[in-house]
Amino acid sequence: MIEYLQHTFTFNHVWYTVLGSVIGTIIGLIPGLGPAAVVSMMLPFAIGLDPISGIALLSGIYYGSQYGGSTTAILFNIPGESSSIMTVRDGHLMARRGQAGLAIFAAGISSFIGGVSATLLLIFLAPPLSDLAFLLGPAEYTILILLAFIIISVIAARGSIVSGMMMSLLGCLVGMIGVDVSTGVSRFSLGQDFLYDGINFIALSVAMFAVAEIMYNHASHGITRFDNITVKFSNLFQHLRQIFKPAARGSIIGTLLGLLPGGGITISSYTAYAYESRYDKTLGTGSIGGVSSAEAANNASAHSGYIPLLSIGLPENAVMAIMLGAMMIMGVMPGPTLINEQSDVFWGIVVSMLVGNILLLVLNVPMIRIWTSLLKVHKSVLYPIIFALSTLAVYSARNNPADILVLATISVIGYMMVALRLEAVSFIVGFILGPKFETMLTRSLTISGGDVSIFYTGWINIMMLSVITITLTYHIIKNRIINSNNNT
Amino acid sequence: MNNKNIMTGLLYVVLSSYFLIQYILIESVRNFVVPFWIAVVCFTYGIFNIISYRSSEVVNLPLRYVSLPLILFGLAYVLVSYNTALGIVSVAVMSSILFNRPFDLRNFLIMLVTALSVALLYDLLVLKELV
Repeated sequence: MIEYLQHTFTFNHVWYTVLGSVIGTIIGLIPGLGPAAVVSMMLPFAIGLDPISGIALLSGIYYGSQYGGSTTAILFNIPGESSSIMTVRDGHLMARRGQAGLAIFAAGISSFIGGVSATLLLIFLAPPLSDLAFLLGPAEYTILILLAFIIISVIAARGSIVSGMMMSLLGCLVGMIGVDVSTGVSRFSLGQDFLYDGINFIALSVAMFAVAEIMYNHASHGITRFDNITVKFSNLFQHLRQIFKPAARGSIIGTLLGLLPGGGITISSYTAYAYESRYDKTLGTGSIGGVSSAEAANNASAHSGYIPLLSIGLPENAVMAIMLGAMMIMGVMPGPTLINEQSDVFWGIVVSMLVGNILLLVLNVPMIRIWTSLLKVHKSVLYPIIFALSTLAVYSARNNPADILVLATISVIGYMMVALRLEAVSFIVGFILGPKFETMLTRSLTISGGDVSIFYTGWINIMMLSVITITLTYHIIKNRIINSNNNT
Repeated sequence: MNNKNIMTGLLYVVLSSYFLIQYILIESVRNFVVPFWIAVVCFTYGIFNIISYRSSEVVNLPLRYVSLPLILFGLAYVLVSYNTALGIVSVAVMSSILFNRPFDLRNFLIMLVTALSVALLYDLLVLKELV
């Protein structure tokens, strides 16, 4: 660990962690601009760096946005991120009572406690999970990817799980455009050179998460203006005791829910807030405990989402799916082999997360006045710049103007998906894992001579198939109960 | 205003047709069984969505938003081939027409200067690399 700590504490790695954290904080502050959009736009820059610096930059943006989101929630009664919804309730009431500084301090400290505790769990839990590497063959990988499709469909499902699974399949199809790795034959490219290597992942993620989201937000909400609010700091340290216990409870809940497929950051903050109401009867009236528990939970959940991503290659949300794609472009293979074969990258990510959390605490609390001044930037300035940066990000990745055409086409598809409330996360997970699913499926059937029993032989496959069955059954029964309640 | 089922179905049908048409036209593609069956499932799901017409839910898909990326990035595609900075700034200016309403000259100028700086900085960095 000490050896890896020394390796990670290079100036470059720390610098990119700082840069990512600053960008993430700014993103979190601005409502309607999620971390997925910015992580996508930063991809061309990140993949040009060494893997640890690149991942540190993208990770910093992700968890930095969790810190920044709370500031907008507290000061302006607007959740910068969906995960800050519970912070709005007590945080803004505190701000209106003149305790904005205290609320931001509580959010910062609690996010720090949540982030660090989840990172420590990653250190202890991921290496044992990596031992699975020796037990997984092509058939096990096939079922594991199928499990990923189903779980992400359940998480993303806004109505029907079938809709989520179909989006995964559509993503698989689009991901299969280009050269087939097994045979070397170019397919579905209509003879176009720019499709020979497949759809550019950066163009796809920028179109789906930056362009489409901005257009949808603008079409449905128009342009929001912010009023300025003064931030006052009072004597903060006497409140540390009040913050610590709710933050600890929130951290445990957030870490566990982030670890479980389907937990999610927003659900974590809801659950932690609801649990906190057992201990704090003043919740909802501007309680410091409400802010602390919700913020600790959402940041802990954001960090523990890395455990399934790094140990079994299972992304839990849109940002994790983009991170998975980015890692693969950088030559890092998230999954059971990461810790054994690319341990420097794994420990580099872990240390950058710890460093990033300390930096974010330093950045967020004393510099709050600077960050809030950024909210004065009007969206009529911000959105065109994002469009311009999106074009630059996509073009600069390969210097191929044809990628801009891909961006245009997928932006239309992405906008339709967002407007139709289809699951873009399932689509992107299908896009990333689809080609691997096909390769593993074909390889398994070649090994077994076409015998499908290879997929339900062995305890790992049986266990994963059981999880799939239980997940699907639970979801179907839950939907039936909800439907019958709605009918009566 | 469009019915959600029909629009979803059309999206699936159009996208999966892209793959199915190539199965009919291009011989080498026929060796790939997995994408074929996925395309068939997606196409069937799309058709099912169109004909089932279950949902009365309507979604708003304004044509100007659907066509906007095609116009914006189409222009950028043409201009970037001549000059990168020109392509990038054109996207910023075109999208500003949509987002800067009512028109605010100060915001427009801030946006223009920022976009120009980013584009010229990129050009400068690329030129430096080439030299």
